[in-house]
Order: sequence, then C-alpha cells, then structure tokens
Amino acid sequence: MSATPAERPDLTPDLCQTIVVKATAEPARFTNRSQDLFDLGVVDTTQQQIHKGRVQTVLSKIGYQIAQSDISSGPGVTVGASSDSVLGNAH
Amino acid sequence: MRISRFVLALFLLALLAAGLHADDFSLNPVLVRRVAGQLFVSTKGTPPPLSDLEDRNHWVVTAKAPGAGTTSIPVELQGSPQWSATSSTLTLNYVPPPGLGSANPRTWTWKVTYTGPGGISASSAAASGTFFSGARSKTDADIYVSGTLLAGEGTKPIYTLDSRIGWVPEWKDSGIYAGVESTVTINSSAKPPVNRTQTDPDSITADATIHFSKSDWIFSIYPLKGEFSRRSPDSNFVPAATVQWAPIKNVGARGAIAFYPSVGVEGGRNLDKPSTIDGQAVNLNSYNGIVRGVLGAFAAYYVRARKPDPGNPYQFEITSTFVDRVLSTAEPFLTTSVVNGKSATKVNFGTNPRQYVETDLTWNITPLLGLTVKDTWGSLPPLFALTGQQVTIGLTFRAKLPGHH
Repeated sequence: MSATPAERPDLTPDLCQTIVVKATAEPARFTNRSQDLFDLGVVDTTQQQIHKGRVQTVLSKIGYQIAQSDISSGPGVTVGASSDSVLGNAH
Repeated sequence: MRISRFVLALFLLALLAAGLHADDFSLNPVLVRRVAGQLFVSTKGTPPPLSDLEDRNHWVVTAKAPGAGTTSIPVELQGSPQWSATSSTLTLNYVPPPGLGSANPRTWTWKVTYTGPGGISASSAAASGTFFSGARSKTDADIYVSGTLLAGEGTKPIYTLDSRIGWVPEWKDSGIYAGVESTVTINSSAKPPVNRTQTDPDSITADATIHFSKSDWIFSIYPLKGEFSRRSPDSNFVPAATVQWAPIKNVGARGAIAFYPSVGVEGGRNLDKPSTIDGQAVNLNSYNGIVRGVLGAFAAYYVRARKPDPGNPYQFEITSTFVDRVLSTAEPFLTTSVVNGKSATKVNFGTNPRQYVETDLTWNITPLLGLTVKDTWGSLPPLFALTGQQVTIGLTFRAKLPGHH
C-alpha cells in the first residue's frame, strides 16, 4: 500500500541513506558514507539490479517515485553517492 | 612579560588549530532536487560548530538560469539550514527565484557558499559521465563484442566472434524493463584445420524481452524469440521464460564470490529446417515442435582493484555460465571429427541434453575493454553443433547504454 503525497514523509538525507543501506544484502556491515556498496554485498550487476529494485519499492511504499536508472548503485559506488542519487531524483 | 608571551603562544596555537579545523571541512558538489525548494550539500571533514552551521546568515546561495551568461541571482533561504550528523549533509530550503517557475531546478547552476569561519563554497555538479558505462558480463551488457583469432601451421586463420546488442530501457519508473536484443556467435564450432577462412554465424538469437526483479529473484520473459543458423539454414520460433535466484554472495576485503542458479522453459516450433548439413543429406522431417527445460547457473569471483575506480572496480573477474537444455522433443545435434586431415560432421537427431559452459577470465584494462581468456564447451541452438574444449584469448568490449539499469 503506497502512501499518498500528503501522507508521505519528508525525504531527508538520513532517510535516503537508511533506504539505500537497508536495500543491500549486508546492511549490518555499514560503517560510513564513503564505504563502497561492494562491502555491503552489491558485488555485480545482478546485485545492483536487486538493490535498485528494493530502493525503488521502498520509495514507492512511502509515496515517492524514482527511475532505476536514476539510482546510483554498483560495487564501485559509495553509500553517500547512492544516497545522494536517491535524494536528488526521487519525486 | 613572561605571561604575555605565554598568552601569545596560546593565541597562536588556537589560531593554528582553528586554521587546521577550517581546512579539514569541505563541501561536496551541491545536490539539487528535481522538485524546487531544497538543496543539499554533503560535507567532508570535521564540521564547524552546529551554531555556525545552522545559522542562515552564514550561507549565501546564488542561482543562474541556463543561457544567462555570468549573471547569477541571489536566492532567499527559508528557515535555518538543517545539519544531519548521520549523513554529514546540510539541507537548505529556498524560495524559488523569479524565472524558475515550473522549470527543473537542475537546469540551473547553483552555488552555495559558507561564509562562517574558514569560508568555502561549492557549486552544483555539472552533468558528467560518458555515454557508455561499463558492464560486468555478456548478459548484462547492451553492447558486447568478444573476438579472437586462432592462427597456426596447416590451417587458415579462424576468427571467432561472440556478440550481443540490446535496447532494453525501463518502462517509466516501474522497475520493468522491456525492449529487444540479439546475440550472434560466429565460428563457435570451427576447429583447425580449416581449408579457407569463413565467417559462419552458427547461433543467432533475436528476441523481445521483459524483465524485472522481486526481492532476490530476477524474472525474464521472451514473448518473441527466434533462433537462427546460417551455416545450414535453420530457424526456430521459441518464446521463453527464466527465473534467476541471486542469494549467494560472499564478500571479502579484496574479493567476492557470487553464485546464482536459474530455471526456465523454451517452447515453440521449427520454421525452417536444412535438407543438407555440411554437404550431407539429412532427414529432419519430424523436427517440428520444440519444448525445452533450461537449467542454468552463473558463478563469479571478482578481484577488487587496489584503488577501485567507480566505473571499473575490479582488476580481474572470473565468470562461469552453465546452461543445460533438457529436450522433450527431438532436435539436431552435430558433432565434428577430423578424418584424414579433414573435418567431418556427424548429424544426430534426438533428445539428449545439450549443455553449454563458458568460463571467462577477464583483466579489465579500462571500464569498457578487457583482455579475456575464454574457455567454452558444449552446443547452442538451433543446430546444437558441439564445440569441444576450446580456449581462446581475445579482447572483449562490454558497455551499457544510458538509461539502462
């Protein structure tokens, strides 16, 4: 069940970071924003696709939309860069 | 006098500490939301005191419309900036400047300046990146070309080419990708000695595809799919569907292991059958309906570069793809042997399982280009010409188009 635009929470930097980290396979390994998503289990394009899908699903549930191509993800992408891509592109 | 020197030394130390502190703090490029009203600036280093950071008077924001030359206009901030220690990011709410209207704020150039102690500034990041981005595997690439050359005594050169091209963009913001793709394999079953150099596409596929992910599962549907061979003209229409499960990935400091099994079905019918194969008359009259179960697995070991580049994080990659087609209707199966120094093809017609294994060791020279050692064995539809163990070395180009994943 998706939230309506009136009900949806503010999309803050912290919320985006939480969504990005929780969508990885190994969120417990998160230590800081400059950590590569590789360390959290996004090791290849299959995991990248799954990660983007999860981020998009969570955002949809709280009332935001985003194209998967606008989400930065992949083994060489940092948590910070991925969070920023969500923050800047979700609408 | 002694006290005043002591006070002066303390003062100089305090100035030095303050200077070091200010040097340590820096702003990343300004992040502009597609929706007007908010800017974000993530930071590096130790931030100034919260009272300075969240003081609106310590921040100046300007914006410049596209085509406005060097003319920037001041932007009024709303409320106090909000600092998040968790994400080291500052949120600035602004009143949309005159002229912005309903335009995408990202088309403007924004500059944010911190005017507190050790003042620094940052601008919105210009659109960057190249048209192509690196892909990790053949199935993931929109454009994949892997070519090898085998030259030796007593044989003409044998060229092999393994290629894929696809256009599979996301449908709006749905997470569902739809498009078309094609693969061409040339001379995959050629063996030395050959009497003349040829380029025979022995496995061509073209399809319309839809795919999406759900949790750890990736679903791929091919409502229209054709298989073709030019070597002995053969064509099949075989819609297909596969599901891949991607649960296993083990991450270490320098490397990672991944293992993803898959299962699928291919079903359709033969459209065009050859009457001769390599000069031999063949009877394939009962080659009509096609039903195959497809079991597969993908395994990989990735070795991280010492200084990973976002576009090229791995130094070496070893990937292995296994496909086992379990046939419920008879289809051709070609084997080749050398008799009296010449290649001879034997045509079988049956339901024996058809495996194909490909293992690639790639050294990534650039994000798009790698040197690949490729080991292949098995057979591919439609003619299922068996390739014995074949090791080749060549260059591989892998790229993704913009807007795809």
